[in-house]
Amino acid sequence: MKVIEVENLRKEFVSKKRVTKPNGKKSIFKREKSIKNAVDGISFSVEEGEALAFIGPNGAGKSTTIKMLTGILYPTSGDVKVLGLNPSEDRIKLSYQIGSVFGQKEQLWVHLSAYENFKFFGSIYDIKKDVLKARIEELANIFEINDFMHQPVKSLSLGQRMKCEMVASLLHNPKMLFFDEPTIGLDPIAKETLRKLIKKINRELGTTIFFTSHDVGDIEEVCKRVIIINDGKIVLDDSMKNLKYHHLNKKIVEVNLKKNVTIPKKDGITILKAKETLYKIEVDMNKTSMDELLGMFKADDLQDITISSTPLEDIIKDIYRGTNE
Amino acid sequence: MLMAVKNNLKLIFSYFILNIKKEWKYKASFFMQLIMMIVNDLFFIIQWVIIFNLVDNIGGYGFNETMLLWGIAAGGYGWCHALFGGAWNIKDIVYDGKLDVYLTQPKSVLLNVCCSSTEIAALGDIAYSFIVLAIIGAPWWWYLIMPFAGILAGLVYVSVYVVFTSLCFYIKRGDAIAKSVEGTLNKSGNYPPAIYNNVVKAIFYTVIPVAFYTFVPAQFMFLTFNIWAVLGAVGFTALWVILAFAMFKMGLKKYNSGNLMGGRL
Repeated sequence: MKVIEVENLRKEFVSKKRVTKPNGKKSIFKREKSIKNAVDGISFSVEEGEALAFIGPNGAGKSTTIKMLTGILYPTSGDVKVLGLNPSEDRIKLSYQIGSVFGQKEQLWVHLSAYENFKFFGSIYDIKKDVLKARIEELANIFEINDFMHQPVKSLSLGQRMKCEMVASLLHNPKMLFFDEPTIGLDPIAKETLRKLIKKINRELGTTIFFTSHDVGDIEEVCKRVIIINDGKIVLDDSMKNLKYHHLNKKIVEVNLKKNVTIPKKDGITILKAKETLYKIEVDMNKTSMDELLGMFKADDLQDITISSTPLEDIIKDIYRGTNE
Repeated sequence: MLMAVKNNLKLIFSYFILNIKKEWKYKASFFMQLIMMIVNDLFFIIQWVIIFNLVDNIGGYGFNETMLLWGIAAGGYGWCHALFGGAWNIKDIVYDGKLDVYLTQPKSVLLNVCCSSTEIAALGDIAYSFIVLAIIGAPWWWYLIMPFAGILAGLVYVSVYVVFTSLCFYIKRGDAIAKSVEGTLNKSGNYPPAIYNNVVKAIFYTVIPVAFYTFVPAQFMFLTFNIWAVLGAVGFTALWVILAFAMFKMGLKKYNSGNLMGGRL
């Protein structure tokens, strides 16, 4: 079942600036309209239970898209359905069924404890007292926040605070969770913990995850499908497996030889670095094979060999730049 | 419908308790704000004692009637700033694009924003509305009516402010107009109605409803009780509340979210 259906979605931002007269001075009254297409006619759908990474460079249109999906922004044109509802028209109905965690915007009151905040969120989502109590207990155990949920939020570490933010967004048992850079500013251990928790929510509770992040580690670990957006347009929509398979066609081979050799020129083989007996070679697997490269060396000459894939981060950077095919 | 009303009342109550809890963490500041507001309000009594030593009445209003106007005005101001203090943050929230948190919650955005803050000094104003009754030796039943009159006046006050401050969605510094209108409500509602000419009265009964903030409640709830006038005032207040929700909802379509980092204090 499709939980998100987006068709030709657009969002324009209009800004006005003063017109410059022929004499170089700026007009007091005349304004020139400038239109920026933050999201430019994108279409995609998301299946129930999916974990989707929605990524792109700064200003690509990720947050604007999330905001239109959650009913925060009205689209300029196009159709959006989230859980069968139009987010701008049925915002209240939809809010009962979705949760959102914005890494840059906190929803908890910092002077109060997380527990007091959770109780308050219970009234926001009209949750009955006994149901709320049981839910807090369940989530507190899953997220391991029992030790600090009675402390004021302002005294918690960023990682602890993000855990509490996630608990707050899960209290009403949403069918979908939107994460907008939830691991921003966290240390590697806290990031790892949060990623595991998000995975757990997706796999054990069956909650659909819509995830944006600049951290490739987040995406690789949490999501099975990735949509890359740039300049408001979708430039890639594929499974994480396919992304790796199709775009990891280049391998990096580092060889340490016993003596200097001359590597013959061949299409698909690029020597990136050669220092004495140490070579760093890029092999395009679409044009040549690893056997062919290794056949260029005598087995007796080899001291050490390492074969690695291009890091996912570099692939995504290439896609952002539009240099990847 | 009834369920929605019940849930929204519960929300207002939950927010109020949450805001009080938040402020209660700083007890000295809590009591200082409350007491200083009462003292500040009491100073105005001196002004009227002096005036009514010079004249017997102003347009039929003596010291007691004028004090009653002050009591209702203080109560109105107090109730709306205590329950809906967040309305005065709308300008900043809209300009900084900070409505996102409210928009992702299943409640009316306007109600959610308005309830999100409580001005502690406003509790002093509410207390003052009862102190005034004690000073003028009001009958016991006036004490029962005062909260109702105060809440009604407060709803007029906050609705008018929201209607005009919603202009922030369309124009920069739209709140300046709201501040001017608020100033008129504040300054004009405390004086006997007879001092205003017909043109001003027409304005006060329509676009800047000063009359429904203090004059009508004072006259028809306390001085000469008239149920039809009271029902009329309730109806008029309801119209302003509806207008406030409509203006804010229209403005929301123009809302541009921001990406500033920040938390809730």
